[in-house]
Amino acid sequence: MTTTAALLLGLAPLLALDDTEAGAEDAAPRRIAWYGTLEGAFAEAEASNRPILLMSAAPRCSGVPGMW
Amino acid sequence: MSDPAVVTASRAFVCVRPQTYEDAGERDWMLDTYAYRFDELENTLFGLLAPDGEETLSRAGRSPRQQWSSPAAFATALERIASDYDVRDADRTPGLPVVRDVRLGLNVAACDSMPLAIVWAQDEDDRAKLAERAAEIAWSDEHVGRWHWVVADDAEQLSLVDDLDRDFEGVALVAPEAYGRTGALLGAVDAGAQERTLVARFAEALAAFEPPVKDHRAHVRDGRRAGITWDSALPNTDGIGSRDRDR
Repeated sequence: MTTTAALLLGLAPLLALDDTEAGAEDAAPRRIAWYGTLEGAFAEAEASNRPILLMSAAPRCSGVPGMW
Repeated sequence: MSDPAVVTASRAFVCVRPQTYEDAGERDWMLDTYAYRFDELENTLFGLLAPDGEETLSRAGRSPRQQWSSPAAFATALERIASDYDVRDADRTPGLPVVRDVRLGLNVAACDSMPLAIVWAQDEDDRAKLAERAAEIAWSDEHVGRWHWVVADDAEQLSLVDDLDRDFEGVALVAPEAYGRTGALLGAVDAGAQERTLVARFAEALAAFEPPVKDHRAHVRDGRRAGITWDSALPNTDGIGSRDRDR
């Protein structure tokens, strides 16, 4: 029992390390890459022949910035 | 919009968030393009367009939720629409997806809880070359969709970044303050740095960035109490359409 308990204790940090590495990857999630001007987007769409996804929103809520 | 399937499908599109209530030309274009909605620009507007920026490929609305029942359905629709278009010069690196200036960029980055990369050089040609180098980073697998970008066109804009030398030229890597009023330096790459240094600094800065988790209600409440407001260039006309005026 003592040996088993010691093995479990020894393995625990390794399990936590796996979770930590996964957490580090997820800390900066991948999002849509947005052009911030119509001019830039239209130029890229013309050059690449890609269709356009447009989402207009003011970067403020009840007048307060930092929140859509 | 943050659903992984939607994000993946979005890569086949040129995705744009216009300068809502910040640019009269963009406002007029949106009103002309979506003239069958209200007379005034709404706060949120969603639409899909052909590469010519004229032909609409979907109904306009406040958000994709009005047309698709789930992120999976939306992602599937995006894939189907994208398949109608042959991408031209697929190996070319797209242009840097920039926000207009540092002030707006900090606010947008704060809204998204994302870091901001600011490209700056005094000489216009040097600035353009630096922006091209930055585009390679912006569209790389490691960094696509993980940064917002600005190419500053005057040095004064960089005064919004704390602890940045006034004569700095290069790429400043910045964590926005919660309300996007200023930025804290995560790292900086000199304009003349080698490619491996550029890549390394971006990786270090991204690893150091801790995306804040914001509570919507607390953020707005605390901001109001502190008198923190955003002055947009144009008035917010959301809800002041002809239908509302008639009421």
